[in-house]
Amino acid sequence: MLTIKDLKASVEGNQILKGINLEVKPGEVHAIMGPNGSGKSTLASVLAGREDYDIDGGSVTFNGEDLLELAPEERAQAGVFLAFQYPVEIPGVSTTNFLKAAVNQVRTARGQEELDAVNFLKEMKEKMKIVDIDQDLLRRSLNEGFSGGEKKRNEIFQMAMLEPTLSILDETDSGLDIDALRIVANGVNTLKSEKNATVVITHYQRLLDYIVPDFVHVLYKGKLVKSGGKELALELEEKGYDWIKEEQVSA
Amino acid sequence: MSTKSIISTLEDQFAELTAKMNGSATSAAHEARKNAFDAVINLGLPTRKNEEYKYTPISSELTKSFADYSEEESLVNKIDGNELPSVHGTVIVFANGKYEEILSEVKEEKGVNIRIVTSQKELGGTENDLADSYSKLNLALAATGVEIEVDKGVIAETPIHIIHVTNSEVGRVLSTMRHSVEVAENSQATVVEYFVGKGDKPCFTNSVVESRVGSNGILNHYKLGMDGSADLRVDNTTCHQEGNSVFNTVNLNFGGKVVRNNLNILLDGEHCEANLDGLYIPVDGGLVDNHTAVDHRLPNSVSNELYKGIMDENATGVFNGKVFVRQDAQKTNAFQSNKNILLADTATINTKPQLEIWADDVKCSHGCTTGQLDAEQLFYLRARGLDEASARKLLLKAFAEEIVERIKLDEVKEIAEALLDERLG
Repeated sequence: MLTIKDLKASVEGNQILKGINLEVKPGEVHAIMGPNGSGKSTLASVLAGREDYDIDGGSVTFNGEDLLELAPEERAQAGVFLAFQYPVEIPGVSTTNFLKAAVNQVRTARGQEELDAVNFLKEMKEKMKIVDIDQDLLRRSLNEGFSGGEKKRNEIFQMAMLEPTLSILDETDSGLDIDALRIVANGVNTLKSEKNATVVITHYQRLLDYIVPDFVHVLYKGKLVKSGGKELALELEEKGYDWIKEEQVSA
Repeated sequence: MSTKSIISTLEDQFAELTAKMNGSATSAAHEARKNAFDAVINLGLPTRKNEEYKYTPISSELTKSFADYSEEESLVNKIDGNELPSVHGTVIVFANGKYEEILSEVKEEKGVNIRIVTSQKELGGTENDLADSYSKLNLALAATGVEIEVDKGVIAETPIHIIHVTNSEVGRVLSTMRHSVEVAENSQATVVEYFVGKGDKPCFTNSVVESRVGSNGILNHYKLGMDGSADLRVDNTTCHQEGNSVFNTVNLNFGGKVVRNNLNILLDGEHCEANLDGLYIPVDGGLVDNHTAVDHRLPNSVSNELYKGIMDENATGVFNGKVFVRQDAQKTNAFQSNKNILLADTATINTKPQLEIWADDVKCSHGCTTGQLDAEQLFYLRARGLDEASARKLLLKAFAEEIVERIKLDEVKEIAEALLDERLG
């Protein structure tokens, strides 16, 4: 589904990603962990198409397509979803307001029929249950005055509506209390299927208690330096990131 | 057909109006007009050397556009009533500067007195701020307008729509109109003005509204500028507020080559409230200038001002917001904000808040922002699958909507929404 080969990217002349290699197949859950500043959010941003980054080399193929050539909206239409670490506030634009247009543009691009107002509402009500989100919240200005938990639940709600095949969750656990974390994780698990894949980017192991990964990768100084199963996350939790750093130094 | 310069045209217009006065040419009212007119002619129309017109070349555009002008030109332009905003209530249409009875309809309402004026002799009022040259010119040359009076304690149910339309498909049009609105104590009224321009040739419209709101009165005043892309317009609106009165004004501008709005509000009582909101989206090559002044004369009044502009290629916005808080106007709350989005390198905004405060126990604030569309918001929406054009439109609409929403008359709000959608593409 997703093949990243030797991906290098920089921002304002500083190279952040220094050769990433990753293969994600349908049905898999990958966790990318790493200390602050290792390049986790950069990787998420580059995959979603944020324009502040320069691609210095390498390739990203998504279902046979060159992902890096696509505009952000084309990536979304192709099935990539990024749950933002810091969901942006947009005064005057409600979730309901923009999501109907977004869902229909995505559906059109995928050769599906557009949803009319009635069916959109029906679909919304269905998906709202997944993250236990209130309709009033979706009618308010996007993320304005939302709590941390509400913002992240709204992200997962939108993910449910857009039905991506590859979801990238960028530090979705940051700023969440345990109840919100459970709700968010439960939402992600509900949406999991044989056909879609999830990449969970996180600093802490905590989220992985709820979203259990098939693979764990450690990102350090712009490279994936170690990969393993879910037990690697536990090891990181117990020992911290220092032993990875030491390993790198001695290597 | 003889043609002449704008100044000669104006002089001839004034001479003609004076001749029509019959024995009243020496009356005090006409004397005031003559003084106003002479002052404009002697000083000349305000150029960009004038601080108040520094960014707004209305006079040079007027001189240029109306060189070799013949007044007969305007007579050949026809107005199609089907092209006017379709609204309910009292509708008064001025077509090419003349009252158009066939397209107008005055709904009778008890305590609401509407008088259509078609000769200068019947026009009253000189209360307007006469510091402005175009206001002076209006006083001298206006021979038509509407006078609205709402009696004490009357809540006018029927909105009053004043539609100014110019058609320049065949020839250029010069028009001058002068309206007055008097809302007596404990009364309410809603007045909506439209400026519609058809045709590609330039029109010049000079319009004045003098209003007065008595104590405990409310006046809602909405203005929709749909001027043609070659049109020039100067508009002087004044409101004199007495104690506990409310004046709500929303001014939307979507067109025009050069449009200048002067809004002067005098808070001449305690516990007054003035809400001034504006939106300007000038066209390619167009300029919209809003000069506002709020004068807090007495204690305990509130003014809230929010003007927003979106400027795309070769479009210019000008904002000047004066707020005066006089020594007696303690406990004044005065808020002003001007926000602009520039969408192109060739877009311009000249913005200047001007607060003059003599009282010491007041809350006053002003803020001004100018920027591009928020890149982070744009990326967020695109990352959710919205194409760039839709995402931009959505953000611009949300920005502008804050002003449009302040129109409390649904029918007018819908017209404004449609205009906004059309302007944002």
